[in-house]
Amino acid sequence: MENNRAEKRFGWPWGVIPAALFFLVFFCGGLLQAIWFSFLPGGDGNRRIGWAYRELASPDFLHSLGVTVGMSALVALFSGVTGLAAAILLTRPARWRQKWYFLFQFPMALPHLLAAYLLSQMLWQSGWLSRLAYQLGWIEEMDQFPVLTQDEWGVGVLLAYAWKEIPFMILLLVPFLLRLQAQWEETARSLGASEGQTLRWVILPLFWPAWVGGMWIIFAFVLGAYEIPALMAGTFPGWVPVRAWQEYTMFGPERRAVAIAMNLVLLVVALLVGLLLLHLQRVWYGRGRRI
Amino acid sequence: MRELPFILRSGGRLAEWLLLGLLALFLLLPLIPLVLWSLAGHWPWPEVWPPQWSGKSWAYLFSTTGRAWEGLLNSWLVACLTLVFNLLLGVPAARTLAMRRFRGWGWLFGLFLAPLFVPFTVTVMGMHLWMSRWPGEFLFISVAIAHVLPTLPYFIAILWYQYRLLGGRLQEAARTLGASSWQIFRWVELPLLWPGLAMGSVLVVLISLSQYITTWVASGGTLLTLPLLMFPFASSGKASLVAVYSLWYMWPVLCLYLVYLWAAGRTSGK
Repeated sequence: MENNRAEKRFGWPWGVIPAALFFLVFFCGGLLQAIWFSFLPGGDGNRRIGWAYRELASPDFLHSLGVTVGMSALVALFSGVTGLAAAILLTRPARWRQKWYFLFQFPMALPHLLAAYLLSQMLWQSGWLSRLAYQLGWIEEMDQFPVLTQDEWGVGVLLAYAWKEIPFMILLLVPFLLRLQAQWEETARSLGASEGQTLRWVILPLFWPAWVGGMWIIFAFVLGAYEIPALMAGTFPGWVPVRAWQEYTMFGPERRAVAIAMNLVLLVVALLVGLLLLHLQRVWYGRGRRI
Repeated sequence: MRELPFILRSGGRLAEWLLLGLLALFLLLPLIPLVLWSLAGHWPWPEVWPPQWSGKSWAYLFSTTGRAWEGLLNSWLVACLTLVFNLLLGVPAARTLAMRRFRGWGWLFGLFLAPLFVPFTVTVMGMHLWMSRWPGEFLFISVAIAHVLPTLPYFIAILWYQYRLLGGRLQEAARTLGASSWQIFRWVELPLLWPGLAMGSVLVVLISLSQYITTWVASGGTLLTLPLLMFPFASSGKASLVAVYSLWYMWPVLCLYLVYLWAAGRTSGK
């Protein structure tokens, strides 16, 4: 009923048409074009339809894929948890926090490329931290400083991403938390809930979806991002976006199909994870949003 | 889940200070060596402070091979174009999505947010397959179109939220007083939406400025924005040059931020 009335008053939703057309042409169109291209037979007919995907079915690529997906998930979780803690601390009532809030936003203004560089110059074995450690007398040789970039465990990559994504999480969560507090805290308090109880039973359940959504965004982003792994990850097994980029730029137009195929695999992974999360959310709603 | 509230209740201000301080240190400390590197001459390992200074990197930046101004202008031109696209596409879309419910609402919103939830590099690669046939004058436009993909979702989401907070009552009142649609937008919505609009625009510019792969793919590596200029130095470990380019990248951003703060202060003061 309400719906019908609004429909009559304002007519057809014209306003969304330009943006929808833009997305259909460029986003969906580009995607379909890429899918089409990746399946084309190549190499004067001696490569059959879908050759690019057949090439991907190697243990080498699967190893890369596993590392990429695992590290992306780790980055998303780490940034998500740290960002959540920071956002909660930042929104607890106290004046000075609001004043210094912008300091935590500052990395949002810089590109990932710069994040990689900034963290590298700190973490190199000849970097600034290692120099500080020497001055403090903790190490005597450069080699005694742990290898933190291009390392086996991806510590450098994790830290560089955290440097960028924790502020992103804070930016995403703080306004949300502030509004929830304004709306619900008083009600909860007047019903006799303590600060901790309000946090646990009211605020966290309400903003859980935003938090998980934020981590999904980070996961999908890290999955496809090039700069940080290119500058900070070790060369073996190599992140999928880095490999895809090498295929795309180094080995001629023929190999672009492989690059596109690799990226499509990443896209499918992100979609699958997203569908899983949506399903879990539905289950969770069904159970009454309990944490 | 039980520890967290406990810490918050009793854990004392000190722990909170410490945690936030650590985080701030992590975020801000890397800037010190950045500034030092930009002015350092020879700076061997155990020294924390550069023993000799030099302006060589800055001289390179402003030399003809350094392309300082060209990179900056390209970056900002693309960012401004991206912002124009965002305003033209995003404002009506966000307004309609917030004011109306119609069939396919959820799917449409999902479509608009999609570039955030999937790695969209492959889409840009597909776009490039046909955009590369566009004439060269369209270079900036095709790169800006590629930049719309990662920016428009944020822009629409922010504005949608602002429109939701605004509701529809004021517009209705204005309409009964005989205002036209444009007048309603100009005199009712715009003044109230201004903070959200400004924040969204700043975010769009920042995201557009920081794109690397998207710019590269959409232009075929021919449009030299600052990140494209910087990357080769970063991957070959030329710390001093990257530091200089970074600072060169930062100063207009800092100006933008100050203008934003000034504008925000002015509106909230009214």
